[in-house]
Amino acid sequence: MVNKRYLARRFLLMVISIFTVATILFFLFRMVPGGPMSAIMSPRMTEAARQRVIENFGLNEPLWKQYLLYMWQLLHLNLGQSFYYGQTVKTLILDRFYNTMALMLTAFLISYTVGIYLGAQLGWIRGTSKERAGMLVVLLVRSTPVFWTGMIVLYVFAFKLNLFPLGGMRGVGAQYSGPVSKFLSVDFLYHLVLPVFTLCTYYTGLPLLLMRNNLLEVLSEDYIDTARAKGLTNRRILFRHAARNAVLPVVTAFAIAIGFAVGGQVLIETVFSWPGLGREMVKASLRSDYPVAQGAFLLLSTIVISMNFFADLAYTYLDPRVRLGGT
Amino acid sequence: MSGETSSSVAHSEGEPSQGWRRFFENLRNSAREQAHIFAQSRMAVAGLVILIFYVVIALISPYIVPYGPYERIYTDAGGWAKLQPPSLAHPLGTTESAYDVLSQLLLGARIAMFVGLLGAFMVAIIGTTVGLVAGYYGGWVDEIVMRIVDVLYGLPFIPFVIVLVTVLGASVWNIILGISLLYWLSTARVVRSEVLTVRERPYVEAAEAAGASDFRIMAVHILPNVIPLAALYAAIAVGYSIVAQASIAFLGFGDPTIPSWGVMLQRAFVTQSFGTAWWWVFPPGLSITMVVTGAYLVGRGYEEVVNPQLQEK
Amino acid sequence: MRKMGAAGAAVGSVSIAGCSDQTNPDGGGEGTGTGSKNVESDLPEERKIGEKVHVSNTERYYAARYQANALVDKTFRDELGVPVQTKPVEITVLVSREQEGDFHLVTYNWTASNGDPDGIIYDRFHKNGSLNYYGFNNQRYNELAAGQRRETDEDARQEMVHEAQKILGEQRPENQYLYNVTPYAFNSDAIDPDSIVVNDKGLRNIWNYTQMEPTNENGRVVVTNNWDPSDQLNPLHLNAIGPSRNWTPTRFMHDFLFRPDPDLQMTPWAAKEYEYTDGTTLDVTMKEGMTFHDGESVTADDVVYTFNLIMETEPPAYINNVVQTTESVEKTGELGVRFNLTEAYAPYIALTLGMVPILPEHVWEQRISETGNEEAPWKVPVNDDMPIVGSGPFEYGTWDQASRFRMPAFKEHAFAAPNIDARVQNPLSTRDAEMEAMIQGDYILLDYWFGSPRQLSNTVDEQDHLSMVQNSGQGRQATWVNMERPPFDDVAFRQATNALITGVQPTIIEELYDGFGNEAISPINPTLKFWHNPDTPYFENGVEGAITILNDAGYAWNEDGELHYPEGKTGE
Repeated sequence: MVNKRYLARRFLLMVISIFTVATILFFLFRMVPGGPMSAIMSPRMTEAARQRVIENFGLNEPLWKQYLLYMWQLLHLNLGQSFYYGQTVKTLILDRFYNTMALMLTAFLISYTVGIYLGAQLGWIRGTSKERAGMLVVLLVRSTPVFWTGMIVLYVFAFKLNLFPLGGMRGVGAQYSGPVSKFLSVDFLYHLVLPVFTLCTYYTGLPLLLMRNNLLEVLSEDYIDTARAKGLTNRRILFRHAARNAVLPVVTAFAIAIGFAVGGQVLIETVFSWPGLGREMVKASLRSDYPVAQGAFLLLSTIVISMNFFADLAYTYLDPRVRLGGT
Repeated sequence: MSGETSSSVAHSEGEPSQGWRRFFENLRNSAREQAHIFAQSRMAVAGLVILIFYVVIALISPYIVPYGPYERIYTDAGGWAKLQPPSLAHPLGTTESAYDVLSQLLLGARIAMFVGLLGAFMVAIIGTTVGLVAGYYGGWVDEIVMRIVDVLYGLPFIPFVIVLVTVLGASVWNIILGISLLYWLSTARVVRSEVLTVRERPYVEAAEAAGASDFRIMAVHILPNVIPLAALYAAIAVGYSIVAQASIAFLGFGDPTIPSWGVMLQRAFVTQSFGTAWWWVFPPGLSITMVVTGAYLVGRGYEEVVNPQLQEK
Repeated sequence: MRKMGAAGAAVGSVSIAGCSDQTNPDGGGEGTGTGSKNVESDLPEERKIGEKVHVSNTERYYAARYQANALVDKTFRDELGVPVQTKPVEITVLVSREQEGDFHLVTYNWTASNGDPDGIIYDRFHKNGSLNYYGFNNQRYNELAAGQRRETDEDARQEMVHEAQKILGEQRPENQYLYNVTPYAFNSDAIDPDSIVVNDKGLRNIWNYTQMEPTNENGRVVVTNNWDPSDQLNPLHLNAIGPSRNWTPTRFMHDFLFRPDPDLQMTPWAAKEYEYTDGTTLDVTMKEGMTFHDGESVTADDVVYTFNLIMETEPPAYINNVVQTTESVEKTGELGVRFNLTEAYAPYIALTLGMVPILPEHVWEQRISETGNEEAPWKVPVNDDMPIVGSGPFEYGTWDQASRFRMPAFKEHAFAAPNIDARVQNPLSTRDAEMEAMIQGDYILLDYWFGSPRQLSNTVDEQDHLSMVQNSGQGRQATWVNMERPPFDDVAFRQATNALITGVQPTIIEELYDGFGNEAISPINPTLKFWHNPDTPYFENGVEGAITILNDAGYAWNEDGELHYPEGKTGE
């Protein structure tokens, strides 16, 4: 059913989008005041030494040459080397990226599971005062700025009650044998609880509301009445028939929401001292570490753009009303 | 999604002036109809009341604040009155720098409402226009617009605005610029798909056949159908914009000379007063929550206008 | 005492120290200045002093310093009618704006390296000094600044440094806010308080880390808050030598021929004895029995290799103090090294030998060629696969970038083996969390404290297991003025600025730093006892003092209280 030519075309467009973003970022970062030298420069450096460092970074070349070189390297998936850290950008940002993803995806999975369940329940009891109260709570929680929730959660559970760590990702003594055990250790999960909880308070709102609204639409369709007529129990109707059909658009929204959420991670990372990509990219932009800033932004952009791409595909595939290939 | 509100009106192309009159008639009818549905939702009305309350605060705050936002409060001994708990003279206490919290809070409403409403307005205008044009013309216009949307989707909002603010300077205007640049995308997408269905309607085809200009068709026949949708997204954008501005300020990229709620929270955060000065931490946080909730409630009311299946019976 | 230069002669009367203004608790800060201003009507518009920019760090970066700037600028505006605006920018932007001369005033903290005044006297204010962004050019001063670095007789050098401070005091290119006093906390249940050594670097000094005695199991691994152990650890990289944070790991993992002792006197470390055979030849004999972390011996070859590497490849961070001062380095024995200087350079031990780490030849040669960085050895990456191999009291352990850096103690160190087992840098992103980590026992000590001093001392008072030490550092927080732009090209205006700032000083110290600071008059902190000149002139009486100076210099105010240049002078 999925047309191969359509797929190929969409994929090509996606790649073009990513390269356009790369171009925008390249020029945007070069407009940041300060420049790369001020972050890495020794104050006692002579002018000649300064020039040598500039040459070494390739910053003495005309801008268009730097741009072409950057694009050429990008084609080979070479993101360059950080001015500031002296490490290759790829290792540097992948490390932070896993940290961010571990936090965000955990929160997303929990939020969507809980959100879909609660949304279905709320939709089912629509019109009752219980539902209205529930909706109000959902809206209030979703309206609270996530950094503020985070501060309060941190203050109560870590500072006052001493139940959870104050931030960071690792206990002091924790040792790991490898990258997998790092993310599966009890120590890590213990550090994960508060930030995930905070994110969940915020993320749960969207799938919940979507689920509720979709369920209301589905409930008005004929086959639900048929099911009722058959004398099926409410629970069975809700979860076997209605919810199953209402959940598809929520799943599609999942992909798009991930794309949106990724940029906001810097807030939660700041509150919980989480060594993630968001904080790193903000720092890199401020110190004009072009390779890292570009690499980090581009990585996020690629995620967002490809998530949108998959959401589109999923939507097209799941909803027979949309014909492939456009007009 | 439905365009019920105006599809029932007979459409035949007459003189331009008649067309415009019909436009306003349509608009008025649909507005009345929407207001009616809207008023039935108690939550939406409650949301509107909250928003109006804060708008009023924003308007009158310069005249009612007891102190300047950065006016130093002194103790009797002549030192700075730092982190004073609430008292009669200072109902919400003072900050670490000995400023009056209540005054900052009231003036903060100005910034919040300014950013919220202007941001939402920009989002609605840009999103609707782009969606309308793309959906109506289709073809390469649509293609280009949608590719631009794709690209802009790829710029993560908060990091992008931080870079923007670093390049252009920390000011509320630049944050609104960031919102205007990146938040119209969803609106445009939704409006576009609505336009795609509306333009297949018989009366639009009739108008085309009668030789009406593109602009007229878009403005008179299509726009009224997408306005509720745009309004819904605008209502949501009020909340988004306020939270966005507060978040940027919280990270320390706001304009420190303006007492916005985000800047207040950031100060409480950087001066380590989060655990001690509840009178400084809770008011701005709760205010943001209230305003954003108000905007969401209004948005929800509008959603019922747009999507009748959600209406309470 | 307090001799005024020509331009300052007229205002000598307002600079009598000790006469504080009792009527105004703010010292002229925000009260109503009642000095009789020279008010004239019909002042021409072109004489009006336009907007001046005070480039500041952001509040997020350093709240108290931003607030101090805002306070000074408000006083300028409200009391003197000079429209000075605080412009908070990112610290990188501040640095580049300063270098480009794009400022009227700029403020930060600065410290002399290794207790030697040369970095202040020469680099910052000599006309060719690499940090002189202010256009300060005073003939007598230039002679003194260049002379003191060639003067090998300490007392003669001291005299020159003192006279230089006098000129700086009169000319006022720099106006000090305060000498910061920094509090540090440590867990006195885990560490024996008598073994704690605090110096100008706080608790993050090698003497402290090698001498600390753990009193229980917790104290064996010292966990601290060192901000961001994620920078570059390559010792040839700028970030590992400059004022940035990786200074500490670099200093701990390597040995140096000399180190400043807790009182900031240079003292032999890896060196056993040394002798200047003439003004430009220095013979050093190294201690016996030193080894690198991999077991190889530390020899004269490694020292010679390190210096030759630096002189050949010229890592930018070492140009001033090594490349330009060192002619050649030769081996005189298994443990003997001779340094031939290009010319007499008094701070050679402090600023050259005290700054260059001893790198193992056998490791670096291989690393450099493996990574193809023959031209730029400062680009050799450092990570768990290519760890630092040094000979210092601490080894490279494991490094989770941006989250944790563990340094086990090098128990085989020949003469400075630590008593603790390891040092762990585990940063938290907020000051609140850092303090709470002290309370809960996760941290053993604070390497840095950038939060509120009062909060820290309150916390320590409440917690039995915490103790506090404080140290006055060797730096100062100051604002520098751009003398190439009016009105700061006029010495009288700079002196008025100094009077204003001196008046605000008590408020800055008491209210913004909770009393953790001392009033400051000279760029050289009194902790550098030998170099500080207590007779450095300064101007006082706050706003009133400033008004008197400005009146006498011919400045005038219009009816709206806006300050105007003296007759015949127009400016921006």
